Amino acid sequence: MSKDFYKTYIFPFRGIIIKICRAYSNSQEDYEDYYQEVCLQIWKSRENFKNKSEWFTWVYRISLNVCLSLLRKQKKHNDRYGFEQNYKQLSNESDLNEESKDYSNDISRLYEEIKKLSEIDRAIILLYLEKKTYKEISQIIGINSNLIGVKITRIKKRIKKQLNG
Amino acid sequence: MDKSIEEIWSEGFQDEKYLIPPVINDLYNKKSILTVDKLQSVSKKDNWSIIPLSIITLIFFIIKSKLLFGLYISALMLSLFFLNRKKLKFLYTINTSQSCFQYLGKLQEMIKNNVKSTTRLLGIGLPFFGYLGLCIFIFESNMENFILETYSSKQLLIKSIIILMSLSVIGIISFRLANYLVYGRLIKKIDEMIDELNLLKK
Repeated sequence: MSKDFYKTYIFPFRGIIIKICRAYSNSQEDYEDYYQEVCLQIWKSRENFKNKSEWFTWVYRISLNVCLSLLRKQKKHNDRYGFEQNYKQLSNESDLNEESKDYSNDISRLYEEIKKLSEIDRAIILLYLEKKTYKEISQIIGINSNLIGVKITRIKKRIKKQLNG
Repeated sequence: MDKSIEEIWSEGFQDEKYLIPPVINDLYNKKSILTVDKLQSVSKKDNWSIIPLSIITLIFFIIKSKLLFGLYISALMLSLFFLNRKKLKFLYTINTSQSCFQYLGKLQEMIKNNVKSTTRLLGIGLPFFGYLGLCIFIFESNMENFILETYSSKQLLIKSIIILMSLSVIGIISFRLANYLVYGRLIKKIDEMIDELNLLKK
């Protein structure tokens, strides 16, 4: 990957990549791996981009797909090796504490709540928080825009309740 | 908490320091180490599976009253196990602390050489040992007189050549097929990684 490609096509969109990777990863190490893998996949799939959608949407889709696939792979691996799962959980707790130190208290708590959501709800709320319209979210996620509205209200209510609780 | 989640989110990322991405270095490092690990474990399992197979083969031929033939086949399988073990040692000489481009290239070359030498071995070795096995089987079944009486020397020679050639072709095809089924995906993955690393270098 050339530095120019990274500077022009990835760096300006690093915000959404970072946010997605944080929301789907369980530790600092995973987060860094996810970020690298997303960048690599964006670079590898650059020739498939046909200008039918915005570059942001393309980047978002790739980031989401990569993170979901890595998360599933990890789950499968953890299910197979129960011992490692327990070990990972312990190390994740310390990693999350480390991660929390970097962020303000509010945003880390919000992240913790987002991480508790289902895979699809996480994707929806991240797009909503990036100020995307229901129509845009619906196009990216592939769910009816009316349902998106209902889902967002429910997710927000749930997060708010947890944050206040 | 009075703030809305939208406020928390936008305030949380106002500071640029929260948008500093992790450093990208050695993109393929973890992936290639995992691939080498996988190749080591698959080849080890694959080779160890020969041991129970040779025991089953021996038991089968003992039941069929062909002890000598069973012992011969089992001995051949065990030789294959030790030969493979010696050959696969190269996998453990891979130094993953080097740059992944370097050791993946080395691994790719080693795999290619291994496939070439095994193909040669099966192409020549299998007909030889297979033919010898067939002779043992014929003698153990007391069929040698029947065969010598039924076929002329010329016929026996032609049949032997056909058997030798068939064994050679069967050996090569079955090795290539087994190699593709067991290691195909891993070898393809290594080739892809090297191609991508070459592209990244540009």
